[in-house]
Amino acid sequence: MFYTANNSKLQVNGNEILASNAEISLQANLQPNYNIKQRHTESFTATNGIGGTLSFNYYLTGVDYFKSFITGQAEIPFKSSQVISGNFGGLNFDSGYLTSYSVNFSPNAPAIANASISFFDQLNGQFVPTTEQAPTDKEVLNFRNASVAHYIPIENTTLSGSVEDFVAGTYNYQSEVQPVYLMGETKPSAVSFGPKNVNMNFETDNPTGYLPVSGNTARISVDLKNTANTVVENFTCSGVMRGRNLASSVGDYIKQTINVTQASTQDTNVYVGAIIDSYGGEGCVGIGTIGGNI
Amino acid sequence: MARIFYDKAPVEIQALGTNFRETLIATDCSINFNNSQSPIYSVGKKGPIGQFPSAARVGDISFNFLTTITGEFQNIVGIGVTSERNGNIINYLADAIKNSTDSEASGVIIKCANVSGVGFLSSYSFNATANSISSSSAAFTLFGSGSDLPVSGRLSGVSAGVAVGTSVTTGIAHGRYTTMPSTLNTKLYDDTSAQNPAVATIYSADYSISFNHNPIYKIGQEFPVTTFYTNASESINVSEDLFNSGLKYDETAASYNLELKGLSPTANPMLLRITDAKQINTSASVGLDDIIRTQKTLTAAY
Repeated sequence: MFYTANNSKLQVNGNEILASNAEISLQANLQPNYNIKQRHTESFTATNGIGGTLSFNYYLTGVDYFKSFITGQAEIPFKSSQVISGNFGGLNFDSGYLTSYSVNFSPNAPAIANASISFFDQLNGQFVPTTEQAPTDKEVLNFRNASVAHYIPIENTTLSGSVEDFVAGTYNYQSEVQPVYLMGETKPSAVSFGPKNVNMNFETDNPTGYLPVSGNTARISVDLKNTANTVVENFTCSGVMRGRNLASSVGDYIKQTINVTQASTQDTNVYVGAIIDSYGGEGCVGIGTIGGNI
Repeated sequence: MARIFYDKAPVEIQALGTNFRETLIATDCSINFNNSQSPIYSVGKKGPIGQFPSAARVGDISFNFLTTITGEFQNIVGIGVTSERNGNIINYLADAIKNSTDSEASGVIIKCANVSGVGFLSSYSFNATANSISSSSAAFTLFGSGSDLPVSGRLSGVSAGVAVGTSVTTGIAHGRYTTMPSTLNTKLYDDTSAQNPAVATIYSADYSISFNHNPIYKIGQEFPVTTFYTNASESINVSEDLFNSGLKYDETAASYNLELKGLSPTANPMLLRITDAKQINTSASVGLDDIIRTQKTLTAAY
C-alpha cells in the first residue's frame, strides 16, 4: 500500500507542523562478530542503543515553537520543553532533542525553517494514514516583510567599511546531544548536552577585508513581520564576527559574506542572588566583612 | 473607464537623468505586470494552505516600431559614436549598453498611454530587406527600485507632440538604399581562380541583441536595491545565395558597420557596429518558384 504526503501528519510535542517535507530515519548500531581466523560471519551484535533523527522543513506562520529549545534546552532550570516527542504518520518517539535548527533569509521568499531532532529510542506505533484539509487561516511569513538591525562597530577605521544592505543570510543553531546509557539500558536514562552555538551568515554590501585577530564584536537581528507589519518573530545572533568571505563569478556581482557566531545561548543567567548565613539570615558572612561586596 | 484609441497611445522613451527622449513610431505595444504566487502545501494536509508570494513583482514592455533615423543624441551615446552618427534612441541605448564598461545600469523611462516604468533593455532587433521598410522591436524588463513600482500610472490618452528635448525623426530605414558592408558577403575561393572569388548577394539581414541584467534584491524590501548589466549577445542573420560548405571550425572574427539608410541616399544613415563577430552556421533552402537561398548567422558577445 502506498500513501501520499497528504496522509502523513507531522506533530511535535502535540503541535501540528506545516512541513513542506519530513524525513524520519532509524538506525540500529550493529557490528559483525568475527572470530580469530575468520573473515566471514553471520553474527551481529548491538553495540549501542537504537536511535534516529527526524528532520523537516516547515513554514513559519508566527512565533516559532522550536526557537524556545535553542535557549531552553539543557539549561537550568529545566523546562518542560526539554524533551521532544514526535509523531510522523502515527510512528512516534518520546525522547527527542533538537540538534540543529536553521532558517534561510532570502529576499521575497517565504520563511522556511529546518529542524533536526535526534531521538534515542525505537519508533512506536504504526503508520496510520490521515486525511485532513489544509488550514486556510495561516499566513506564511515572507522575508519581504523583514527588517535587519545590526551593531557591528567596525566603522572606526578606514579599512573596516560599513554595512548598509543585508541581502540574504542564514541563521543556524547546533547542539551536541549524547545519550548516557546505564548498564542494562537500551533507552538512555539521561542525555548529556555538549556545546551549543548560534551563527549567522549574512551577505552584505561594501566588500572589505577587515577582520582583527580577536574577531569583532557583532550583533545582527532580523525581525520577521506579518502583513500587518507586526513583528512576530526575531532571530538574533550576538557574538563575534569571525569570518569574512568575498566571492565573485562571471555574470554576478561581488558578494561579501560575514559570519557571526554566538556561543552563549541560554536565556537564564546564573548569579548569586543573596548570601544566607547559617541562621537563614541574609547578610554579610565572615568576620570583618561589611557592605555588599565580599 | 478608459477607451483610448491607438492614436492617443504613443510610445515614448526618455533617458534617465537627461532631457533626451523620443516618441517612437510604434506599430504596437504591450505592457505586462506580474506578481508571483505559489501555492504552499503541507505534509499531512490535503490542498494548499494558500497562495503566497515567492518573488518580487516584475513588469515588461515590448513594442515594434519603424526603424527611424533620428537626429543626433548627444551625451547619451555609446563608445565610439561620433556626432555624425544618427539613429533612434533605442539603437543608441543598445549601443551604449553593449559598449559600456560600467556594471550598474540606470534604465530608461518608458511611457505608453500614461502608463510608465523604468525599464532595462532586454532585447532589440531590426530587419533590413530589399525594397522594404525596416521595422524594429524592443523589449524592456521593469524591476522597480527601492519603493518604486515597476509599472505605474493610469491609462489615459496622450497626444504625441514634440516637446523640448525630443529628437525628431529625420527618416525611416528602407531597403532601397541600405547596403551591407562588403566584408559581410560570403566569398568562396577555389584553387584555380583564387583572385576571382564567387561573391554572394545579400538579400536581407536580421539583426538582434539581447541583454542580461541582474537585479539585486535584499530581505525586507520587495524591489531591488540596484540592477547590474552583465553581458549581451548579438547576432545577425544574413540571407544570401551562396552556401559556404567550407565553414571553419573556428571562423575568423571580424567587425562590421551596418548603415541603414532612408529613402534619401545622401542623408546620414543609422549606424550600428558589430564587433568581433564570428560566423557560427550556414544553411541553404529552396522552395517552389524561388532561387536557393542561404542563411548564415554571425554572433558577437559583449
